[in-house]
Amino acid sequence: MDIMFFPVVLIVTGGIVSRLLQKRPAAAMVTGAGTLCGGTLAAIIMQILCYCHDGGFAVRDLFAFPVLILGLAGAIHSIGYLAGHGSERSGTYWFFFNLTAAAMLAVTAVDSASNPLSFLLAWEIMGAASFALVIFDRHNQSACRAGWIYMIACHAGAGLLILLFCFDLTPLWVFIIALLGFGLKIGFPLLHIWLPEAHPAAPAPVSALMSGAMIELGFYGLLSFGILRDGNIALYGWVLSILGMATMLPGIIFALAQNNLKRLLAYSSIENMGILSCALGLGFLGMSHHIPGMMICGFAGAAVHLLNHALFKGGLFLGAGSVYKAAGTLDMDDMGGLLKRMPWTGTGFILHAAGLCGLPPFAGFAGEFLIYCAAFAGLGNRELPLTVISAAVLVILAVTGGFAAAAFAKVIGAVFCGEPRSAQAEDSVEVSPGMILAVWMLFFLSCALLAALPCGIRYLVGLMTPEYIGYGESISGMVAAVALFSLAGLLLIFAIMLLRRGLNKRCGERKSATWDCGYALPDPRMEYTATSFSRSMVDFFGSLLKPARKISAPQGIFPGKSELDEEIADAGMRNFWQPVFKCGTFLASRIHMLQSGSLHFYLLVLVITLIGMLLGAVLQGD
Amino acid sequence: MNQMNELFLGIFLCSCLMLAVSSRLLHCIRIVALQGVLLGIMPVTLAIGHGDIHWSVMIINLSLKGIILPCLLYRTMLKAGVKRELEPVIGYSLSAGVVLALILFSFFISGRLSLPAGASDLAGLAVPCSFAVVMTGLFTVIARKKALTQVIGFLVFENGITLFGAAVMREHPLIVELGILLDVLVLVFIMGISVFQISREFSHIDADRLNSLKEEAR
Repeated sequence: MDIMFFPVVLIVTGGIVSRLLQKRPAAAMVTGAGTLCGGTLAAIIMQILCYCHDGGFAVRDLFAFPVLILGLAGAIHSIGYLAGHGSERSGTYWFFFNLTAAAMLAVTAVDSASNPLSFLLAWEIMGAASFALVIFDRHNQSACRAGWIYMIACHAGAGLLILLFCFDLTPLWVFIIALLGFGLKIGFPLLHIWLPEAHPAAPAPVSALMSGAMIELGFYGLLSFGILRDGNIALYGWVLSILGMATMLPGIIFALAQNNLKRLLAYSSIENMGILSCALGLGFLGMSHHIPGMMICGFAGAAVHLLNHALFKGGLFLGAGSVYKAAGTLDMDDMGGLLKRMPWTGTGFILHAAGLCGLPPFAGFAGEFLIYCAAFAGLGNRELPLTVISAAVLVILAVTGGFAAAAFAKVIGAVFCGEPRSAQAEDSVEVSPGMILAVWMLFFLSCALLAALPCGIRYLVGLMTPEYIGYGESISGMVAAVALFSLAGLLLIFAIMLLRRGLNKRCGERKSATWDCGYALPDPRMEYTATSFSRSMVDFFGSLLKPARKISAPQGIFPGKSELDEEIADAGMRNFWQPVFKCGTFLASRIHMLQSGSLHFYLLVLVITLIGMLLGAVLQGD
Repeated sequence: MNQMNELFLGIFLCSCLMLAVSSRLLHCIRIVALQGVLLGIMPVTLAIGHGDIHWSVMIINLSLKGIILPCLLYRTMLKAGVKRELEPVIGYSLSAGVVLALILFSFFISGRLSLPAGASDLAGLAVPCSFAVVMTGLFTVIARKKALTQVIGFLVFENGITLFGAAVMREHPLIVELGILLDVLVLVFIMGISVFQISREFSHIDADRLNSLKEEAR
């Protein structure tokens, strides 16, 4: 029995009690949120104590960290998020939220190698409980549809995992099945379709927990079960890095084209999972080709990027939840000017977005820097295929980073800058302090992570065999320099902001409209919307995105009402799954013809089968 | 004796063809009765010169398949008030063709079967005949509409199995034979009762109209 099970029990118990107190929402909220916060905090403290006591730090602790942090932040954010809508069902919410968080913690806490059944159980509870949260807004048709897609994806994955645990397979098959089963959680291409549906439908804290921690648990499963010691390490490296590239680039292109804030973030999650997969792939390639620099940088980059993605994407989803709470919509075309109305949330969101894009001086830069280092280490190799893949990763990673920056520029421009484009956005006000705290908490944690990074790398180096220590030392020195530079940059930004405030106080501040290019009567309708901002890039990738536009253009001297409606369906859904399901339905209707209701026909089928079996037996005997 | 047995088998095949083309129910019942009588006699003629003769099997077969079951069917026919199979699923001339094809098929199949060691020297002819009878019985069940004709088809099917057993297994376990007979008796009783019930309930005994028990396509 692992010591981490005590927080799990505490959180689950709190959830059940909260459900029993359904009639009294305030009490339910206090119980649910209290036990979740208490449980996650206790677990964090326990982990730190364990680390200080015996200095052991395993892969699973790396994956438990996002669960704990996002559980805590999600609990704090939920208190404000539920107020107003959904508060009368808060007992149910907390029950499932606590259950999800506890199951995720249990996934990391069970000893998966010796006890796959417990792992599977926790994995299934995690999926089922989060399904209930996705359809929490149960009267919403699209939420229910998203919930079903999510449910099917969860169970298809679980079915593959049962296959994995039940049969004694060769390492290659283990890898393939694990790749499919856990890939459904991670969101590899074609297996990703539930992400852009379920994330926008779920309440924001749940999206944060799912996107920041749950899909990363897919990698935990893949590393624990799919990758065997006696398997072909080079193959793992090739597959993961190629899959990663195939995931991240389409992911970010689709993100760029979205107008729904949370859908955009969901596609961005797919992109980040691709980066993570690439980093792991480079690590494995370095391992199989004995290139220490590539291996260390790849694995360390994956670890850092994992934590970064958890913190930043969690923060962004929580921020999106705050925006939804204030503006009442997720459509970015209807927002605008929110930075003036909700400065704290807006600033937090912008910082998180910059971090997620991997811009210096935030923690995101350090993670991507390590992955670039891994690719460069592979580039200087004599083997041609390795050089080619490293170069490809470098290029794709750079392109993806550029698109990510464009996507978040679109978000920030459309949501926070300019003037509001709808009455709801006009009336939005700053959300409650708890929700702001949850967003900023994650940002400060990412800064702390940056500060702790050199120590972490040094710890990693300490575990290595002597032949690698030299490389480890040089990398840890490099990371320390990056961290130092980044922290100095953060401090500099902070100092400039303080200076600006001081100057403003001394000289006085004058508020006026943004410069309006000389228009006499500027109107919010004139400004760039989210759709028009990304228009040129959507057109550029038109063959991939296939935007469905409904245009009624202005006509005549006195034009009437004109409209533009753009919808971008998921390519995997449109080109692969829909034809597959259509084919399945057609086959099923054909088979249904067998049930004609005619007794004679049934008898005929029976006799044909018997004669066929007889013939088969006889001909086989020849 | 062998020539006599071959003659019997030939009659069996002819009765199959006759069953396929006869529309009158009374005729069909007579054919079944003929098959029953032949089945009663054949174990004895087969066993002459080889040893034991199961007189009890012969008597039971003769009385049950040759007399009692046809009488029961005749009574049911009278009660249901049906004399002819007017609209079969497959027409009579086509039926004859199909049964001929089935007979050819059974000869093809049995040429490739490996028979157990104790088979009689007649097996070369008896096995395809019994296959043909079994298939004709099944064909009758499928191709005819009246529940009564289907019962007849089932009986013919059973006759084929019995013929197979009688021809191939010379050492016939008595108890197995009796068990099969009991099965057939019970089945015919159940079917007779259900035919009677159907005719009383719906004033027809067409099995193809009993098709409301399926899921409607959505």
